[in-house]
Amino acid sequence: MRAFQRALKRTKLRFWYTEGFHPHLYLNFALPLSLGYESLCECVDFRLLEEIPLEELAARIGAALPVGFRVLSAGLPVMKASEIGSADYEIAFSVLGRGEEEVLAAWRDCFGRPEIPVLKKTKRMEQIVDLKPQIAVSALSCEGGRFRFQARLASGCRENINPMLLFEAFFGFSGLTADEISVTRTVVYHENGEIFR
Amino acid sequence: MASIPERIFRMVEKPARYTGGELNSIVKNKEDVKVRFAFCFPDLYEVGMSHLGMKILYSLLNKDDEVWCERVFAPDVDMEKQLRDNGLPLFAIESRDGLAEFDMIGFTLQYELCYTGVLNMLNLAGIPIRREDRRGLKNLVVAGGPCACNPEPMTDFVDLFMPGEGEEVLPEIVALYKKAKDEGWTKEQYLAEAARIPGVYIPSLYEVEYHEDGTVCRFLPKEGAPMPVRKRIIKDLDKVFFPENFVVPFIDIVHDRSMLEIMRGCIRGCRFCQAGFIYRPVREKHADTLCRNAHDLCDSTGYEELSLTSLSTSDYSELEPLLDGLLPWTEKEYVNIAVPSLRIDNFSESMLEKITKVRKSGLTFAAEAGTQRMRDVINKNVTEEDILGTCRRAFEGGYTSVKLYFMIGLPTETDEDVLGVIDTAQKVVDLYYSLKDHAKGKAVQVTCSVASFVPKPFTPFEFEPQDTMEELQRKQQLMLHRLHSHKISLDWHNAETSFIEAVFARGDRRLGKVVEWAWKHGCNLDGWDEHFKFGVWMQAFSETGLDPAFYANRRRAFDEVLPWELMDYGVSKEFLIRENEKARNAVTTPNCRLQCAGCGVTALKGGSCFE
Repeated sequence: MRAFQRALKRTKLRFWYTEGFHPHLYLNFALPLSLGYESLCECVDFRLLEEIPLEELAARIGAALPVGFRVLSAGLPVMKASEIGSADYEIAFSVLGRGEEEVLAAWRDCFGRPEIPVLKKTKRMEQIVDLKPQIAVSALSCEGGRFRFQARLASGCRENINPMLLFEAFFGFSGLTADEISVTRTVVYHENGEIFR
Repeated sequence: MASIPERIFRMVEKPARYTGGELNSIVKNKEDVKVRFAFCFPDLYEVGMSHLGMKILYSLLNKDDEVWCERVFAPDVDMEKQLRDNGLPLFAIESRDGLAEFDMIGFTLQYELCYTGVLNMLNLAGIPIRREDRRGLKNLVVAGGPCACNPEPMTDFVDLFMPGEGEEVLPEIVALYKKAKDEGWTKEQYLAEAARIPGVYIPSLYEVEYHEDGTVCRFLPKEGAPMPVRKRIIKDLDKVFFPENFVVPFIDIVHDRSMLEIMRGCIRGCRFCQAGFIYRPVREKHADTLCRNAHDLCDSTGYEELSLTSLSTSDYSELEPLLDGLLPWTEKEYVNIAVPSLRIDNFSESMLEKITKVRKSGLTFAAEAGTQRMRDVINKNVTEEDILGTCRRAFEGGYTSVKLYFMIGLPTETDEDVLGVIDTAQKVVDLYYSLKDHAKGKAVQVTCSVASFVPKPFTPFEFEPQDTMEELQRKQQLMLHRLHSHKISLDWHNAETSFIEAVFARGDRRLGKVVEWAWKHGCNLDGWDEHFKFGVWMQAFSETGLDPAFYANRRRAFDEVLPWELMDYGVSKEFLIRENEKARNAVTTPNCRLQCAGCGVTALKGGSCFE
C-alpha cells in the first residue's frame, strides 16, 4: 500500500486524494495479498484527475515502482472488487526425508476425503470450516523432489480461503511437515468465472 | 546474493526489515569496488532507518564508485535465533553477505544503551568483539555519533572513533583505507597513519592512569597521537553534501518521512542538554538551499510528509521565508510539513496556520521543569506565561490536546519543583476550560512525559550526581499523588534505565568489561524495556568489581580529570564551570544570538558565531 502510494506520487501525475482531516492518495487493492506471497495478477484502483493514454500511465507507474514490481496493464475498472469469487494459487513445497510416492499418497488421501475440516481464525472469531467445497480444482505434481500444488480457492469478501489453511489440514491429517513453502497467486476470477478485470 | 536462504525470511516477523530491495537502495558489483563498508546501526531497522545521519553518510560514501556502503541493523530476537540456529552470519541488507566479508565496519553510537548491541552484532557475524583479537586490517571497526564524545566505555571493542561531524572525516579514513589495502599495510600502520587525520581518535594509542580512588590521573598518548582529539565540524552547511534521495522502506518506521536538516547546533545553552553543547557552533542552511533539497527529496521518495529538523526549529532565523518557499508546492502536492522541536516562547499564530495547512500533526512542547526557579537553574529561559500563552494559541487554533515534556532529578531540585510539573499541567487544563471558544463538547488532554535527568559530558551539569533510583522513584510517586485530573496523563522513564545510561555516559575505559560481561550474560537491545535486564547489569558491576554509583551518583570536583577530557569539543571546561556556578544561583545566561557567553567554540569555527 505504502509502496504504491509513494510510487504513484513519484509519477508526478495528479491523483484524487481523500478529503478528510488527513488527506491521502486514494488506493484500493481488490484482493489484498498476504505477507510473504508472490502474485502475478494484482488489481489496484485509484482515481486520476487528468487524462493520460493508458499505455503511458502503465509505463510511468512501472518506472516509479521499486525493483520487483511490474505493471501488467492499465485499464478502466470493469468489475467490482466485491464480486471476486475465486483465485488460482500455485504452492510449491518440499518434504524432508520422505519419498515422492509417500507424500503424493498422503496428499491424495487428505484432499480426497469428503470433508476437510480446518480451524479458521479471524480477528473476531474462530470457527471450523470445511475446505472441501471451497476448493474448485486441484492438481499435485512433483519434480526433482519439489512438490507443486495448484488449486482454485474461494476468494473475495464473502468467503476467502488462505492457501496456508490447506497446509494446516495436510499437516493435521498426514503428520508430515512441509518445508520451503512458497505461494504464488496466478489468477483472480469474478464470481461468474471470468478473469477479474 | 549470498548464502541466506529465503525460508529464513518467512520465519520471522516483519521480514522487510531484512530483505532489502527498497527504492533508492544501492547495489553495486562487489568485484568492482575497492572498499566495502558496512554501516551498522545497533538497533532495529525501524529505528535505524529513521536516522538522518545514516542516510547522509550512506549516500555520501556510495557516491564513490570504488566504495560500496551497505546497511546492517540489529536483528530482532526472532531473527537472531534463526541466524544462530542455522549457523548463518549477520548480513548486510544489500548484498546479504556476512559482515565478516567487509573491510570496514562502522557503528553509529546514538545512545549508551546500544553498547551491548554493538558486541552482539559483531559476534553474530563471527567477528571477535575485542579489538586486540582482530589482528588484520580487514574488519576494521570504526564508530561515530554523539556517544563518541565520551567513547571510553567502548574502547576495548572499537579501533577508531570519529568525534564530531562525519561528512568530511569519514571519506578521509575510507580513502586512507584504500591506500592501505593497495599497499598491504598492517592494521597498526593504518591506525598510526589515521591518527594524523584531524578528528580521529585511536584508543590503542593512549594509556590511562588512575588514582587510587578510581578517578583518572592522566592520559598518556603514544607515537605522537594528538591530545586532546579535536572534533570535526562542517564550516559551511550550504556546501555540505545532502542526499537527493532516501532509501524508502516498505514497512512503517519511526520517522517515515522526508527529513531536512535546517541547522546544526542550538543558540540556547540549556544546561542539561548535551546536544546543545556538543553540536556547537550554530550553523544555518539558507532557505533557498533547503527548499531545493526538500523538493528533490519529496520527488524522489514520494513521501507525503516533510519534517524540518534541528535542535530548536523555531530559532532558525529564516523559518518564515522557508515556510513561504515550501508552502506553494507542498500544498499542491499534499505534502504535510512537520515542525518538531518548537520552542514554547516563540510559537506564533502564523506558524501554527502554516504547519496545519495540509494535515494537522501533534503539538509537543518542552517545558522541562515545573517551577520558574528550576527552569532558571537549567537555563531554559521559558516562563509560565510562555507556556500558557502557547497552549492558548494552540487551543484557539482548534487543538484539544498538547504534550508537555518535563524532567525530574535536576540539580538543586526540591519536592516543590517536582510537584510543579503536575501543577503546570493542571493550569493548562484549567486554561482550556476558561476559554470561551474551545472546541465544543470535547475534553482536553494534556500528556506529561517526564524523563529522569541523566548528567552528560560536555554540559555544565557534567560534574553533578544523578539522583539515586530510589529518589527518582519517590519523586515519581510524589507526582502521582498530586495528580487529580483525568485530563492529564502522566508517563515517565524507567529509573533503572536512566541509571545505566548515566553510568556509561560519564564512564571510563574500565567499564568495557562490564559491557562485555552483561552482553555475555544476555543483555542486548537494552533500550527496549522488554529486553532490558537490570539484574544482569547489576551483577555485571559486582562481578567486575566496579561500583555503578561511582559513575552515576558521585559529584565530581571541578579539578577532577574527567574521562572525556581526551576530547576537545570546542566548549571549554572553564565555561562549563562558570555555567555550573550560575546554575547553583539560578542565574540564567542569554542565548548566543543575544550575547556571546564565551564558550570557546569559536576556535573551531575561526571567527564569531553571529555577525
